[in-house]
Amino acid sequence: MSKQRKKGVLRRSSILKMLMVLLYILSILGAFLGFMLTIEFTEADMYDGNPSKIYEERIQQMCTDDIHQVFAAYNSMLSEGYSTDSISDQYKQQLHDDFMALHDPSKSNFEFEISDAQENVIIQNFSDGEYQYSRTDAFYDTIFQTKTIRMSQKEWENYTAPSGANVSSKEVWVNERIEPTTSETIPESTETPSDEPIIGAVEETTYDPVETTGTDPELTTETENETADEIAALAETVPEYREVLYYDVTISVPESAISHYVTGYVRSNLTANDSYAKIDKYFAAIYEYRYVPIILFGISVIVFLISLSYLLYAAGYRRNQEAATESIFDKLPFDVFTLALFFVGLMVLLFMDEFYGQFNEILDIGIICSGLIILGLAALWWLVSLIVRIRTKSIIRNNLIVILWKKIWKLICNTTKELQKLPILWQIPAIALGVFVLQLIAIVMLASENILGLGLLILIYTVMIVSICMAVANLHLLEQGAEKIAGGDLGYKIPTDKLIGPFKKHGEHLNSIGDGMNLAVSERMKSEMFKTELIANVSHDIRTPLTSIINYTDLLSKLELEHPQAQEYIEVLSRQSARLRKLTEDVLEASKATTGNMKVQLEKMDMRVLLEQMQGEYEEKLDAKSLQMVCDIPDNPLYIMADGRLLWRVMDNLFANVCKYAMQNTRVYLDAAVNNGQVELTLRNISAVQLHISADALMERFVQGDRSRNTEGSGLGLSIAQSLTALQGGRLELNIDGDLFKVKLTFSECA
Amino acid sequence: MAYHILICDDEKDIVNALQIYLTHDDYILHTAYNGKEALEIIADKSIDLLLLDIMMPEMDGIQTMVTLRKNYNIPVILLTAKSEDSDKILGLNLGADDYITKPFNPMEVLARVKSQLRRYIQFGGTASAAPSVKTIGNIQINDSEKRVQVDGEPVNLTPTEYAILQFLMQSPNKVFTPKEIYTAIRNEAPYGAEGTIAVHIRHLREKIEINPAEPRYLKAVWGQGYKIEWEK
Repeated sequence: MSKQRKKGVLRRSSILKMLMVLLYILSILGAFLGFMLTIEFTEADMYDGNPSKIYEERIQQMCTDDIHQVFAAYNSMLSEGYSTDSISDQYKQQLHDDFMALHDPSKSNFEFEISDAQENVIIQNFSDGEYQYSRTDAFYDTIFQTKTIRMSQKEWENYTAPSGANVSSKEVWVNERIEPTTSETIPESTETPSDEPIIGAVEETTYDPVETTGTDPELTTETENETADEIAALAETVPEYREVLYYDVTISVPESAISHYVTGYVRSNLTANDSYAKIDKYFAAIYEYRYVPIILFGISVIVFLISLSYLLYAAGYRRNQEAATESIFDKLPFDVFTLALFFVGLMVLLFMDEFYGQFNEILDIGIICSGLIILGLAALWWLVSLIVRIRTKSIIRNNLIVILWKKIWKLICNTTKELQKLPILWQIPAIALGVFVLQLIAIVMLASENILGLGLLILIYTVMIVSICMAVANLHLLEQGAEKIAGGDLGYKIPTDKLIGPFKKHGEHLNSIGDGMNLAVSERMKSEMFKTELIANVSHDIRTPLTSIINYTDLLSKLELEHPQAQEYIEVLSRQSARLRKLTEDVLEASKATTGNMKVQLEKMDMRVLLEQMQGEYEEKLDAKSLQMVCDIPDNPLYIMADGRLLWRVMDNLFANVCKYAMQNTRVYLDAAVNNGQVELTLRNISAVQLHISADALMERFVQGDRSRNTEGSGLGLSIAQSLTALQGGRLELNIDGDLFKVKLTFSECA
Repeated sequence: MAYHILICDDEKDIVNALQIYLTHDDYILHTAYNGKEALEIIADKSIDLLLLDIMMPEMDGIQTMVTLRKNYNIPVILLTAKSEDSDKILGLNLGADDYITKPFNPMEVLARVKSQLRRYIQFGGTASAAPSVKTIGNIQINDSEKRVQVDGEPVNLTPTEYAILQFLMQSPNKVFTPKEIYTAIRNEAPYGAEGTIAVHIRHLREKIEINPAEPRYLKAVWGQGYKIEWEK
């Protein structure tokens, strides 16, 4: 119980959830970092146990860069050194020292030597030591000696360049003070902006502008600072300035084509704390921790799995709520939700693609990290929502497509239902109208040469033919079932699961008719059986007191009673008790016969023999009433299937009736004949009393021909006879024509 | 010699009535009102015949008879209100010698008692082995003397009746059509005269059966013919 409670608390803690979300994000970032670094390190062959390839490449690169630098510096020093004669030896030494200082062995692990084509070492900064890397680059160069000389127009025109020299010139206008004697034309339109290109040109062409234009820097600066008004004022007051054309001639003389070899070395023991050492240290550190990214990746994956499992485990559980519940977002249709998140993810990816590499590396990392966080959260959200939906069993139901489909299906169902509510008389025209409209559409489509029309037409006809076949099959099933039920097989069930629509309903109705009738019949049978049993019990119970009554009446009759009417009364007692006895037997017999609660053993028997036996049995009784039996029985045997015992009882009842009710001194006719495969037996006699009753009524139980009912019969004889005949598959008919009482027994002839 | 007869029925009136009827014939009567009492009396006194009701409290007739048959061989006549054939067959199969249904005719009871006693006491199952004497149940036919005895008493039969009985007793349980019987006894074809056989049979039955309406031996198989029924 407490465990469960704890479990419930665990999955309902929002602090834990937030923590887990944090862990989840961190683990994603960690895994990403670890993965990327691992790949990087693998590419750097860090896991092969060899020094890093990248490290080597880096050193090479740095070394090459340094060699180039050295050469560039050397080259510039060289050109400086040879360019002007004015540069002093001291200055040259200074330059050399500076250059060397750049590559001070104590400050740099890079060492080099510069040698000329003849492999004479010109400069080197070697210390003793081993070298982990060396490289030699050859540099070929033509060294020009360049100088610029300002010439006047006349000088320029007379100048002859030395052979092989490259000469270029530039016009330079310079304001010059003119002696008052020579002032003839003073150009008024002297423009100050023209001064600037002068300076510019000087700067471009000369190495050091300060040096080349050393003579008149004051002038130019002055003119530069003066505004136009001042110039104008100046021109009025000092008219002796004017512009003079000079030429700055640059002469480049190829001095020699030289080739140098620069060999760079990187010291093995990296004593100086320069960039080589830094790189080395950095790589050493990285190499030492080269497994960290893998571990980071592994741990991140584990943390990721744990946090994700927890978050999914806790998905949907909230404080104070028993089962998982949906948030507002979980109530959004799932497909809409999925698409929205997918869209968000897509936007994030596009954003990352757009801005990655646009700015610096730090921003790139920021972009990747934020992108990963957003994507990770989106994925998490989706998964959590999925789990919640599964827990609340709304995953399929709560989809826009499903909802829409349900609406459409409901619409279809409602329409169909409405259609079904219509009587079948209207359903058929409605369907026919629909088919007609569809056909019309198909024909129009075909007419406009749309091939889909043909497909539609084929579809319509296929559906129609299938429907008609189904309807006919259903009708056939119904027909068969109805025939069976009508034929008396009340238990028959029409297979309604094979039926559709109105046919199904009809089939069910027919089945329930069958059921009802079946039930009624079996109920009836049950109650009849019960009645028979009751009658049997009652008649047994009546017999015991009846025995005493009969016996004591008999004993009484043997006593000598004084009263004259005593014997008469005893006679009544005796007669009525005998009647009661007969009655109890007959009642039992009748009830058994009518309910069929009696064993019937049909055997082939000869009706003629039975009739002979009957006559033998009743000969005396008939004689006693002076009844003459007239027989018309064929000579050949009359074979029928019957139970001899039961048939004898039938005949016994009929003969007994004749003896009881036939008029004395009349003839009784007994005819037997075969008619259309039926053995017919007819017994005719004249009734002693007038029969006020129909044949059917006479056949009823407890009905006797004479109303007084004081004869010895029970009124059950004919009823029993009829029931027993029916039990054997025969037929007993009564006919009353005036006083003529006629009984006809019919049995099928047995070959 | 007086016979000891035990009447066992839970209805005192019926016991009394039977006593009255049976006292006439010099029987010594004992009464019991249930199966247990009956068994006690039988164990105590030498009883020659038992009239036993089936439906009784405490111990019913069938149970009583089954217990009785373990030790005694005396005739038992069942008295019962059950009239179904199956009840009769059950009773006879379980050892009853005869069967009377209620309400019974006192004369019939007397006749059956007499018959059983004679068979049990006088013949004692030691029928004479004369070849010309044939016995079925309590019917004895002596062919050489052309005499018939039922329960040891001579019965007067007409020659035709005698011929029919003699013919039927030759093959007990076999059913003969009236025509066959006629042909057998007259040695000629009946030509429609076989109808007289039924009358003879009826007369014969009245002479040799105690209750002709429910014959014990000479039975009609309706629609087939007649037979002498003999199970043992």
